[in-house]
Amino acid sequence: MNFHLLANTRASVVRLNSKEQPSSFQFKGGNLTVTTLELMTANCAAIEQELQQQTRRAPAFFSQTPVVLAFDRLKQETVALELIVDTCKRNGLIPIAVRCSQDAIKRSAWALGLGWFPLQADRRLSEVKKETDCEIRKPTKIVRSTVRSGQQVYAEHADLVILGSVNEGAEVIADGNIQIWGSLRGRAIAGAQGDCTVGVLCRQIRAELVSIAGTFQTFDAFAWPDDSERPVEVRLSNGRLVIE
Amino acid sequence: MAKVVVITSGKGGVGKTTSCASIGTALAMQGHRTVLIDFDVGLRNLDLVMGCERRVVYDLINITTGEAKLSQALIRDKRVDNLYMLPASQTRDKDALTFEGIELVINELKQEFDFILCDSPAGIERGAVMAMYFADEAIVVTNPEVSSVRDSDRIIGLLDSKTRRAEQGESVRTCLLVTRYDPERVEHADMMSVQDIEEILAIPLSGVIPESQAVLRASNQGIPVVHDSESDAGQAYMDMAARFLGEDRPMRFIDFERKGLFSRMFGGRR
Ligand SMILES: Nc1ncnc2c1ncn2[C@@H]1O[C@H](COP(=O)(O)OP(=O)(O)O)[C@@H](O)[C@H]1O
Ligand SMILES: [Mg+2]
Repeated sequence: MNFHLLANTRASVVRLNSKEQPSSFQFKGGNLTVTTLELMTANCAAIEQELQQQTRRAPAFFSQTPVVLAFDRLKQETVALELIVDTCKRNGLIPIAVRCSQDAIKRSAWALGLGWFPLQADRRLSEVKKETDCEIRKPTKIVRSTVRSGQQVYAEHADLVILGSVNEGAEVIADGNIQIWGSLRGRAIAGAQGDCTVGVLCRQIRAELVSIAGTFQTFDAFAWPDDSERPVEVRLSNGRLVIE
Repeated sequence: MAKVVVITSGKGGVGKTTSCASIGTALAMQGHRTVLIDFDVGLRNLDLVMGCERRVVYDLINITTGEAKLSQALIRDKRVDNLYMLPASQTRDKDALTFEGIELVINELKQEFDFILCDSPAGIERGAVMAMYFADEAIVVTNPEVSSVRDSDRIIGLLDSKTRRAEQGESVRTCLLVTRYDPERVEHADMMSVQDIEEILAIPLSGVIPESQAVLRASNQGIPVVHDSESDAGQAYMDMAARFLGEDRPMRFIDFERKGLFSRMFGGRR
């Protein structure tokens, strides 16, 4: 039997009201492209000066444009968030939320009525650019042993073949396809530069995580069905990981 | 040619020290000049298991720092000829051990001995890397449980990358020793089977030591369990040492059988 696994489950519509009453609204999930303003400094004067230069260059962009203020790169625990927001507004940007790990900034955002996003859990997985056409491929990288807990193998611009197994706690990454002659018990990340035509093949799957072109699935406490004791291929089909 | 063998595991309390004492004793009984080095600085207990703790004067660190000569620090075993041990320091800081110091000691020991067994501390840090760095061969000790197997997997990865042999593009010959094996609990799926462990670690199996009362009894007396030739664990260590020397022996004590009266009377004592 083939079984399917949903990669990113997105609840598309959530109805809150009962059937009798017509809904006064719907919640819709989905992806909106929002610009992120990743700050390298919290110095408002410096930010303002640079924003003004940019506005002159692309005035259309800076009119009522919603942005997320990202503080990932800042080491400091606190910033003058109110001043930064004002600076943005003066220059046609409308901050709607912050992205940070610093609690103090999160609290300031709350006070200013802004939303909050956590840092992306795994930047490598989420920041891959989606591109179907691949760059020049190098020859296949072959690993002639088992990849063990704590080890990581990367095949840049290439396919990756592992003659042994990939054990729990090990990670194999390729810009191309990944082929494992033994069992996949760890993490396999294929299409690491965004090639979504690639796949992961293995003799037996007990994976912790499989990712193809940034679409990933973890199998934390996942009970693998008995029929996974056979060669499988994982591919990306309509934005979902499919195991066959 | 002298062989340096590290006994390592990643996880603590799996039976490295017990195995080092018994395998070393068995090798010496076969006439091989053998020395055991305790690398577990601060937690020395190989001397306790060997029953020579009262004769410790100098230790490994004293030699590497030049405070004592090797011949002063080596402790000769009371029971078996050809067997010596080099204790770890109980008081010194771990960082007092250096790679250069150990290399000097090992090179000197190579002149005198056939086998140099290094009893590794637990973990994957400097102490464990130091114990394995000069090894030609490794015995990876694993218990039949997920966390132990995973740590051993990590250690095998280190043996493939963090040893001098690995740095020179050669490999450290590695074999698997499963200890504290309880066939009954494997039968009930409480523990992993030897087959499962072999499948994951993908290195040759050279022995299985059953969980045995005899081990604790032996360590309390300071007599390596391999001397107890009546016991299952003692026999299993004898088998292991023979396989290590290249002999082909069938694996024993791996199948669960409800013991009948006869095997209870004549089988190995547990
Ligand atoms: N086969 C065995 N059966 C029962 N107990 C054992 C066995 N092997 C080791 N032990 C016990 O496990 C504990 C840890 O053993 P030890 O050899 O000191 O492990 P390590 O050196 O890996 O930390 C000790 O109390 C020892 O007596
Ligand atoms: Mg020990």
